[in-house]
Amino acid sequence: MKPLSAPYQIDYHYKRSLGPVLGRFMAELEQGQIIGSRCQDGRVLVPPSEFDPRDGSESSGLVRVAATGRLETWSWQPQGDFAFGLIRLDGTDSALLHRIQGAQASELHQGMGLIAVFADERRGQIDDIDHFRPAGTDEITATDLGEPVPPLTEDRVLKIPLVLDYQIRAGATTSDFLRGMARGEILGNRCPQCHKVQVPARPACTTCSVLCESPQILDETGTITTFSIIRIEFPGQRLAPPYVCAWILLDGADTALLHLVSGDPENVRMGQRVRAVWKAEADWGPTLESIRYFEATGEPDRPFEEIAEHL
Amino acid sequence: MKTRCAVIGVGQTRYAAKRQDVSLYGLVREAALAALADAGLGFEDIDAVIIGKAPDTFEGVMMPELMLAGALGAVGKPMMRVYTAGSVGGSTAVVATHAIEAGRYRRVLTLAFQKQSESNAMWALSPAYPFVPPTVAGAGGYFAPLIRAYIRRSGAPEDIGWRVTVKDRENAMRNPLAHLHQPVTLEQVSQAPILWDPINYLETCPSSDGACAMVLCAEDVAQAAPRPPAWVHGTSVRTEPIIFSGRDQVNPEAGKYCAADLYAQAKITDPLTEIDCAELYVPFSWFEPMWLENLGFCAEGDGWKMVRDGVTAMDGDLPINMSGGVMSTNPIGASGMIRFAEAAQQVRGLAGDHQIEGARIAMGHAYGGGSQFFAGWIVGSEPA
Amino acid sequence: MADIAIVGFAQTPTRPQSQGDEVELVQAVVSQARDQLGLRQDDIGFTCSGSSDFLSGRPFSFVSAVDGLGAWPPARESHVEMDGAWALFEAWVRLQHGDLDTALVYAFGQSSLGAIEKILTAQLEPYTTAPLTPDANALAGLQAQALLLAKDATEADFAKVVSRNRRAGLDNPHAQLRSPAPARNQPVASPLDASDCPPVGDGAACVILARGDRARALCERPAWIRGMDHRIETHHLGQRNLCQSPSTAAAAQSAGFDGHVDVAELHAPYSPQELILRRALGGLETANVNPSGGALCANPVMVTGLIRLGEAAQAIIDGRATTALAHATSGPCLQHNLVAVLEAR
Repeated sequence: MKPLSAPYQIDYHYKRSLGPVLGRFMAELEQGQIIGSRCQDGRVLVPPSEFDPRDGSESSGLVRVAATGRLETWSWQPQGDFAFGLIRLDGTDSALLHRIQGAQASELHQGMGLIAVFADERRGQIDDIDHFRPAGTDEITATDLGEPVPPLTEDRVLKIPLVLDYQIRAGATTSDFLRGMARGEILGNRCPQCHKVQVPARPACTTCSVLCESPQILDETGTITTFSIIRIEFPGQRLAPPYVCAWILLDGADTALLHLVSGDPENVRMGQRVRAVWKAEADWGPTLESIRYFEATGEPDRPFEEIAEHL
Repeated sequence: MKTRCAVIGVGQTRYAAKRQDVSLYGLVREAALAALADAGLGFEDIDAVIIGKAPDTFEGVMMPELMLAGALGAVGKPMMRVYTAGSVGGSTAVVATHAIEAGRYRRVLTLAFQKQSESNAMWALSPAYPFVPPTVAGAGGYFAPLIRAYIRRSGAPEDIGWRVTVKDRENAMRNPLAHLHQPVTLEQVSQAPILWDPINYLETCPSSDGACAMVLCAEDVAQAAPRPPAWVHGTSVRTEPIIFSGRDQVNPEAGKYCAADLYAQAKITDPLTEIDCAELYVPFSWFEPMWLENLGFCAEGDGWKMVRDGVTAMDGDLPINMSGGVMSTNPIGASGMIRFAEAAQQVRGLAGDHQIEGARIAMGHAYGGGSQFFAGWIVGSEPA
Repeated sequence: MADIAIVGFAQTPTRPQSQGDEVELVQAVVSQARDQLGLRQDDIGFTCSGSSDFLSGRPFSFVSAVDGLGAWPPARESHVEMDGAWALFEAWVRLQHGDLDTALVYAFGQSSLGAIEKILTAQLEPYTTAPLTPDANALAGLQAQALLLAKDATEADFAKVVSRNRRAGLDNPHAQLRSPAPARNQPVASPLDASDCPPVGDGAACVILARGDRARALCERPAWIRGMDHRIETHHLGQRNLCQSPSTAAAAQSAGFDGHVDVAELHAPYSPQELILRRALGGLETANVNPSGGALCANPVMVTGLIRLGEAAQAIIDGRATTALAHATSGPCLQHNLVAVLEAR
């Protein structure tokens, strides 16, 4: 059977504090200007750097540079009407990576004159330069460096999104376990070497590093070994606090399972006997959450000594 | 082993919840340049750069050694990135030490950092990931049941966790770089809201931005260093699986193996009397008594008595976390290296206001994952 | 320098989608590598692994991989968030310390879980480069174009590299692509054709190292490590000469490469990069380069470099070579490079 598969997305707006050099660079971009940094040996780098990457030495200052430059190398992108290019701005000693538009692939050539096209709406980010386009000869005027610019003294934080899409696949054994949950069965498996039963079923015994036997169905009753009462609220929480998260040692298993316990948190005890309470059958799925929670059975607690090994 | 290894430079950033005044470059350079200045060296003197940090999703930069090579003077040199969960700051220093001891390099810059303010630690640590059982509210949710088990097993009274917080916050007042400069009373800690019962808000570490760097070197380089070196007497790392039948998560075997390995290398037979002070990785106050037992400073079940009796206070027989510890400063990936570096500063006599008078032998300790990754070192004011 | 050798190697076949998760991948290669030498995990002195969380988007993915290792009794174990080749470097240095005589190194990578060429964009500095979202193919395209502009190579040279690697891959049961090079009619990022780019696949590998007499006892013909080193370059592409790889040259020199080896395994995910590496190394004219088919036939990211070391060592262990060079790379456009020189004695 194919492993279970589900989409997953990283979608987060990182809060990038920029520091004095990149902070000034972004502030200048917002004004439609580009700056570089000067290394101690006089080389000028764009984007500007707090240091000379060759040896880690402190940069000696910031300087305004031209918005025009020459194309060094490029790669035409088939998905769109643009190329990525490395562009050496006039008067500087390194090349800037950016997009090139307004030319056909066949027109790009080494040394081609380019000029930055600024976005109409700018917010102090690299995309404030929308792209570079071919420059007319009359547009390439000042190739000299401009005046020095001071580093930024105030804090500047830029939110930059990172979005990555994944299609996650469960392993073969985890898929077996989760499909069991969708049938209302809790599956564990035994190590052929140490004979201990793990739950959830795992591909290999974590201590013996050998493949486990085929999964077996375990009892739905067990014992709370230890627990926490969750009182903190946090984003994405599925239950309203307070609620109990407990390690539950199912009867016949040798490793404990983390799950929720119903009822008044103050009545939950180490050693307490509990049983699984499943959701309505229609709501079962390939997830541990097919079990709604565990509830007390009312049997006498197991003495602490019997669970002490499972802490 | 071909040569002894010594610490001749330590540099740390100022720690804060948000270091919004610096870029990632600026953050690591603040620590690296301070460590180099302490050692009287420049980037040009360094043979290799070995960095460590916890998950890359915290800063959203995959394999950040690539972007940081220039900032740390590593261009043209070997550079590595270690990652072993929360113990990473410690295990990074261990990798660097071995490279010196094996004779591979003479001077290594090692650095660990985390800039947690770039994202949200709770999100970064506990994403709703497919096929992984729903998480139980971050690290606190994971460790709270273990602390409950410790309390049940040892019979410790509830004020032990409060006392550790009070001590560590008090110690942090002597450390100008610490994140939290807010002393608290026993009364205040006892009244703090419970987050993950039995852990309350003030028994929990903060989330910080920061970096810590060290210059490690071979014996002949250390002899010529401008300031006193800390000599490495032993290093160790140990790992065990996160779950198996009969696993003792309160007092894990891997931690005991790590300690035994350290004591054998450093020729220590009675750690309580032979070690002058220690920086232990205590992200929740209850871990101080738990680690005291795990590391063999006392019998199992007696760690809380050492706390109660003030043994681990600044003026006690075995001061713990003189810097204020993880309870006062926690840039996760750097927290382990801070422990190692602070131990080194103690035996160098350079710990400033939180110096233990006459400290000659000190321990640095870190752990991570589900109490399953351990790293430690023992340093001394004299060569081993 | 201590006598340390590669004495065992195992790899999973690289496949477009592995059936197993990281635990299953790791358990499979680690136990195969140990079993073929008759070793158990508690015989291993030091264990080190390489992987990257970003491949699966999950923090601490290497922690669950430890479940497949069997770290019991507690193991001396460490991890690099890098290709497994660097884990091997760490293990090699660790063995030079002298107190341990065996090390196990593994790496795993499931490149298929996301769009790997876009995931690799997260390696770029996050302020001025990553936000433009150039993917790995675009960056390799810039490098390939720079080669063409410098007249260091032609597209026909790229095609020759592809064709030779793909032909070699026909004989490698672990390779993902086992068919001759197709016609160049699928432009990716100019001037690259799809055939110049690596396939997307999942896999794992494991290498076992041993010292001196232990190596001789475990293996009839150990692949002794003459030397190994690595060097990193500047990150910003616009501050590098993309046609050259000075870090490869420096690492090779430090590793004791004297210009002659029988076999070379080069980690060049894009065909133009093999040309750059060959020039940086020099002297590979007579060598059998990438008899495995290289990264153009199988590229489980974070494992590909370790596979190069394993394949080079296996050529010596099997008696197909007396000397071999292995190379691994990391970062955009060959930013960080590792070279090892192996030999039979």
